[in-house]
Amino acid sequence: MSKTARLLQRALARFNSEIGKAVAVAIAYFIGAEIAFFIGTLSDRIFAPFWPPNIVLFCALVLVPWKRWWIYILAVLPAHVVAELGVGMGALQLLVAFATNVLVAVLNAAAAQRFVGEQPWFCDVRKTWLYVLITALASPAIVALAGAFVPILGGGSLEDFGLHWTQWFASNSLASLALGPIALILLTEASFPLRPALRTVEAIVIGTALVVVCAVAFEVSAGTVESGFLPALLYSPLPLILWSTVRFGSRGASAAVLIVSAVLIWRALNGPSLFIAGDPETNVFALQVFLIGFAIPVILLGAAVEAARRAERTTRDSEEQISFAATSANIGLWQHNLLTGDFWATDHCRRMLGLPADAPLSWEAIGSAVHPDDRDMLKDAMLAATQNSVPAECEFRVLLPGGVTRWMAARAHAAYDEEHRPVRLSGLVADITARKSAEHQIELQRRELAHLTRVSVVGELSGAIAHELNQPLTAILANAQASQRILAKDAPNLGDVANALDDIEQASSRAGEVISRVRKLLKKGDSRLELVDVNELFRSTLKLLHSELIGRRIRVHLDLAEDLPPAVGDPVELQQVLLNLIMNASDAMSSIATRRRVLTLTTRTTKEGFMEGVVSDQGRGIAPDQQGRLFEPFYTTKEHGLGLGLSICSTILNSHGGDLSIVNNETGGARAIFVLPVYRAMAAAK
Amino acid sequence: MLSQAARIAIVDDDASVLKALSRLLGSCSYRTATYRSAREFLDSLQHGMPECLVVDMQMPQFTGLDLLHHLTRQGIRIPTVVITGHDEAAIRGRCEAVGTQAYLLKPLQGEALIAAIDAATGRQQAGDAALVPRDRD
Repeated sequence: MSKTARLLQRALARFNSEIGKAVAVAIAYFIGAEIAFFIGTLSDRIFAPFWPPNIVLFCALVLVPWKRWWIYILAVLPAHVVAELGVGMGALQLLVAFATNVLVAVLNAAAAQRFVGEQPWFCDVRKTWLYVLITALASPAIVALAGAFVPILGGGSLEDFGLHWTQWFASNSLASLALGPIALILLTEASFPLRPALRTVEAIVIGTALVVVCAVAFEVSAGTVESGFLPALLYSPLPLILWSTVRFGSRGASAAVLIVSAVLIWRALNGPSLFIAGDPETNVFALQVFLIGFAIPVILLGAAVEAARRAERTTRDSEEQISFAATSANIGLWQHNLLTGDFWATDHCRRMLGLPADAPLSWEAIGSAVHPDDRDMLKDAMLAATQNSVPAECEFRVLLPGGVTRWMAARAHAAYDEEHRPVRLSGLVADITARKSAEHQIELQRRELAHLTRVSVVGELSGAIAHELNQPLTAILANAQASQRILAKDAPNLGDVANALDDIEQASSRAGEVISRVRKLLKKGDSRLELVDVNELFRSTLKLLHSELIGRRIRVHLDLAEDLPPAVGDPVELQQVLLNLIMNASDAMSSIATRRRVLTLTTRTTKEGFMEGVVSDQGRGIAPDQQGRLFEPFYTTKEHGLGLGLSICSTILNSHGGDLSIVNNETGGARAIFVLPVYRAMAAAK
Repeated sequence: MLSQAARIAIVDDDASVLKALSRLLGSCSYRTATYRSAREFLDSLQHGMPECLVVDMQMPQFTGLDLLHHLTRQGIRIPTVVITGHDEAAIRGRCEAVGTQAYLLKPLQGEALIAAIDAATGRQQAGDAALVPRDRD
């Protein structure tokens, strides 16, 4: 029940608002008819020169869905009857007139909705053309075939059908041009206030001037015709019409058309006019043709001006929006015209680069803001963007006034003409200082942690390192004491002493090497990039681990590629990786039979400009539940492990542009595979 | 053996240590034979026994301790001086268990080595007092 009631209520409310609108349309229809009657005609046998009621109905229908058209058609019927009875029209004639009026409005509305498309119509030349074709030409021409019968029913002669057709057509066509556009614009387009007030004044001045000029221009006496000033007078409203159109777009154009039409018809019907030469029918028709011919180009011109204005506004809006969004995102935008050399940048872009807001822009000005070390790189990137059709990117430092350095990322791309010549380079600048400093902090922490774990590895290896030192020291001591004994003899063999001294020298440098290897591992310093021979790094790491591996009864099998290209990296950090991987592999074999304890170290070049190193053991391998967690910090399977080894190896390799993975061997045990970019690849990429 | 000097076998995987010890003992008129590995030494036994064995503990594969065990199992008894970089009580105990005469830490003093060899071979030039202080705790 309540649901039905609610539905009923809603339907009533809708109907009420619909009825309100319908009544308003009916009143407008009536007023339109009265205006037409007020203007009057030159002859009793012809219609008003233009007939507004049809346009009132057409506008109503265009703006509502076709399912509700019947409401408006019914609503204007009483208005039609009252208006036509007021001029004493017969019942049948009145009904036929109504039918043709409705028909032209319906045909106009249906065709316009179907073919012209979405409103607004008068800011698009194509849509305006279609509007003119449908409502001012095709539709009135068709309906006029029926409309011509209205005067015939009122007593006119059938022989005058052609004349009636022309009159009916012209009055509807003229109404579509003089009234339709301005009415639809006012009804459908959001009215923007005329700001500043000066614009309002301008509109009023043009309107008033146009009324006056038209009134004077069309007040033509026979004298004017004879004096030959007629063409000049006829053209006198033109500047005002163009002014209105250019300044106010389609509004200005359609308002001007309405004013010219109204004044001209008023003048023509109420006094001496341009159109006085023929009989009244011909005079009115000539007037209509004159107005139709004048209105169509003006309305089209208005649409063209409006389209250009809107396009300009859209461009300006989107430029403003982009500029606002870019500034909000702390991004600067710039553009360099390669043909004219013109440089443009957002104010924010200038601020980011520390350039004054009014100084002329050039590559030299920008270059002076960039850190001297980064200038060439930036220049190369911009040159690359001009030459390649892919956007170029580069990160550089900017020296701001006051000695502040900030990191920027630039991205640029070029636009090309038809012959594929670069014509424009445009791009953006983003401040990435925060990211860079976070990256720097992370890098510092990573290095700190790497150093700490190196210290801990050296601690673990202290016994083995002591042994490595003991060997040369033993040799030195024994050689020295042997020399003393030889020299104490009666006939010392000095050759033997010389040999012993040579051996002492060799052993000393060997001891020195051990110490320097350990010192390098313990030293805390800036990461430095060098060409690193990974094979050599493997060998020197094995020297460091020599005693440790002997103590653990591990045999080492080396399978190193002979033509391995050098990698680029920090040798200490990379040695730490090897140390860690070898120690892990050794730990993995601590509980298996000694004869199976074989450590295999392999290097090889992989196809994509990378090299691969493999540390393979014969231990128990990785359990499936450990597989995913190996690189997690603090995850360890060892009793005394910190759980940082592999996670640090992985971050070290990643920071070198490499990668670490650990998989089980098919024949038992596991292998750690690390990948590093080789120098050749880097050279090729550059 | 008829020669006036005793034949000492030195086994160490480190060539420089081997050469230096050989030179040291040579300067004291010992005849020495050097071997880079336990296996090389064992192979030499078919040509005759040395009077004394000086052996390093830390060698790859076949360690000094392995060698001592092997000799014990084979019933071969050679006076032995162990030299090592690690002073590990457990290893020391095991060395003594297989009859090692002396246990010396690297880097070793010439005097101590000669004294230990003499003590092991019973030359007794220096007497018991010259034995390494660490011989028996």
